[in-house]
Amino acid sequence: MNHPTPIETPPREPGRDAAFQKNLRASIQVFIALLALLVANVAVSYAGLGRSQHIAVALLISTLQAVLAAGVLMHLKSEKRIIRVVLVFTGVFFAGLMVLTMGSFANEVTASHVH
Amino acid sequence: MEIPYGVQERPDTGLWNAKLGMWLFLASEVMLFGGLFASYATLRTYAPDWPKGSDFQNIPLGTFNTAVLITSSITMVMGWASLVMGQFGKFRLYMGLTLLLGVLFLGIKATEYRGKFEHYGVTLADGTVVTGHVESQDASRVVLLPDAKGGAAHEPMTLARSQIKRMIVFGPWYNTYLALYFTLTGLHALHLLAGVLVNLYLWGPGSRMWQREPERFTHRVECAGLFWHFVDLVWIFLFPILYLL
Repeated sequence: MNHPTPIETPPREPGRDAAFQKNLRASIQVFIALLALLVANVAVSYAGLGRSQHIAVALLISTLQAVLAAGVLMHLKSEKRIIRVVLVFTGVFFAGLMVLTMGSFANEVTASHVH
Repeated sequence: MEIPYGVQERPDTGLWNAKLGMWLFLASEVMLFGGLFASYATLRTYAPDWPKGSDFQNIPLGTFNTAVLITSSITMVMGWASLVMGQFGKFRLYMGLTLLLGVLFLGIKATEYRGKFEHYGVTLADGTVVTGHVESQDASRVVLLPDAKGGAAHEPMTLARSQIKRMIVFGPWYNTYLALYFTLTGLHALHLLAGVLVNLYLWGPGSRMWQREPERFTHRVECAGLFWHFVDLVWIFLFPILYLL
């Protein structure tokens, strides 16, 4: 296979380069944090917590991991407003989906309701 | 005719086309996985009994696989960053590592799947349930290597067919937990496979675009990266709910 000849991208402004390097360092820090939180999640599963406490802690750790990954690795924290708006709507619909699905079981139809 | 805003940002949104398109696609993916997560939550909440993930899964292997996927996310970022800095050679190195880690994840997942299909739950005539690997079997008997429980030594058990009431492999039909496990991890693995194929294209023949349109190629890698991170993000939730809880 012929490998393309490396070429330089257009020159970037110095201020933007500094911000870029800062973001890159943040990505590496997030990588280390994600691994540490993974270890924490596994450790919690051996800590002997009650089932509901364990579910709450495990999901909290996972949510923290997701926020770090989305915010830094996917650059959401510095992303344009329209994308954040789209994601807010997505979150609302996601929450609705969860509540409606689970709520449908809370309203069981029993024989006494049938006319 | 050239399609506008392929590389340049639109003045009103501040985005180039593909990035907006990718985020809208990811929003639809959230709803796809959201439906399955809602099914999981509902089935688990209203089940009279639910197994622990560790009854069916190898936790150290699952943890290692999660670390593999997290590592692939940072190599993906480094690949994209290399392009932004104009270092095409480093891009190929990091993208190559991302591909290897993605394939390693799928390989480990395939090993886990194979293990499930060699594992049986055997209900004896007296109602006792024994789980383990079948070492050998014929028309009259089954030799089962039971799972170790609490560090106890496990010797092979020879069971007469007449003693066995029910014998089912750990497939999706074994119980609701395994049905959800195979559905969720199967869909996730398909996404990862799609990501590997896209990355392979960008690492190989697709990288020729770097010579002609470096900025557009960098954007393509950024979009592939967004998808890759999303797949990683889904796994960050799948791992605890299927392995740890």
